[in-house]
Amino acid sequence: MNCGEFLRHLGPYLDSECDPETTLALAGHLETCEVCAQRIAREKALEERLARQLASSAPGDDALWRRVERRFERRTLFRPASIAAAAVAACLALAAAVAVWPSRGPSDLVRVASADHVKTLHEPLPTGDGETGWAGVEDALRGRLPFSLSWKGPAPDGVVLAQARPCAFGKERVALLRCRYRDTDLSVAVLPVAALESFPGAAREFARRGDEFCCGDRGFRIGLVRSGGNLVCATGMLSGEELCRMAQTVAEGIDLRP
Amino acid sequence: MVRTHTFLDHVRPLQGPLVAYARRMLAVPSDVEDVLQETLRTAYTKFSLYVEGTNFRAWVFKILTYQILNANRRHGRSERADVPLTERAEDLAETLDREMEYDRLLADPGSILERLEPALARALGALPAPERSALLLRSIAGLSYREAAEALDIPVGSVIGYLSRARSRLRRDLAAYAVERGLLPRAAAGEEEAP
Repeated sequence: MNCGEFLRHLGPYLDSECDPETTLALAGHLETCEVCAQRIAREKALEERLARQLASSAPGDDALWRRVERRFERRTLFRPASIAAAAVAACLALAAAVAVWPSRGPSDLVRVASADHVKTLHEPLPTGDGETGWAGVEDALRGRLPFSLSWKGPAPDGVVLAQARPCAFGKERVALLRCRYRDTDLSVAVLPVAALESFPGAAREFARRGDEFCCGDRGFRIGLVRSGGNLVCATGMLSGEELCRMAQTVAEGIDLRP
Repeated sequence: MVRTHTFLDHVRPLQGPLVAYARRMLAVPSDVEDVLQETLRTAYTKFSLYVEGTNFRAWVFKILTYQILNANRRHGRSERADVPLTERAEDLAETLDREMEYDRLLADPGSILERLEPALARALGALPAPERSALLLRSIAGLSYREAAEALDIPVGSVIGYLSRARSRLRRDLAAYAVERGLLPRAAAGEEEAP
């Protein structure tokens, strides 16, 4: 190899990118040519110095990098995909909250009772006094509910029991006693007090207001009473006081057993 | 967050070279921060594709190069010069033979280059983008010819050509600047190289 050939390979040689055969040939030339050996040493020094100079940092580079990292971390944590996921999660949470809301508020049992009463008003109520009769409640509901129910007390004053049938309040099964009081249709739901677990709003209201309270919903009044192991919810277009009194009588007259 | 920190653990050692490369490549200095930010974001989103143990440096510089080309293109600075490969080796050799100033630069590069930073920036800026990119990927990023070729999406032979041309022009320009500034004596006709 002569000096001209050596110079043609100068760049790749400086970059250690020559193939092994060429590298050997170049090294052989450098051993015998002092001029090229001196040149390659100086070229290498210049190349290293130039590389250091090119890679040198400028004032403010560190601060710039810190800003870049901060922006990166902010946008990575809150990147569009995350925002979309967060939005979906928020919507789901809102939907869940809306779905759960009625059962969390004080009106959960009240709303279920009034809604059921609206439905029953569209069903023809059997006429006649005591088609089943208060004493016939046990027979009418036998085997149709997860609890047994019998009437042990005096009939509520002036209240005619027209029908007794099972019904569902949410996931709870209740005995629905359809009654008539004067000219008003009433729905009296009877269920175990333990069912309050499914109605935390009503449970909270009982805890706050005692064993009896009334409220309104959908234009009806609803009287709620818990007595012994019984929970009674009377719904109709009567005063709260009347409904609570009626519910109290039913709660005391009903013998409910798991 | 764990993944974010893992990614940053990989990229932080490259902070200096990444910033220097972006600063010297971008046509508009104010683009540096945005381009680096976009590079990190892109690299992070593709981080799952990165294979541990492979050359993370080359991978990130490829992304940065792409971002820089895009940014420069937005400013109408997407020059792309094709270099005749047959000239690649001869250019450097001829320059070495012809330029006595350059030879003096070789003799004491440190003290001269330190005082030539503005000239270096100008000379670098005067290089066509592919040549500048090839030179900086080699000098700053430390990429091999093959890695630089992948980063620039060109054949290895083109990288060799760009590098040779870039070095040749850069050294010649720097020597000329040094002479203009009186840092190097002007070469007289027929002057022999100092021993």
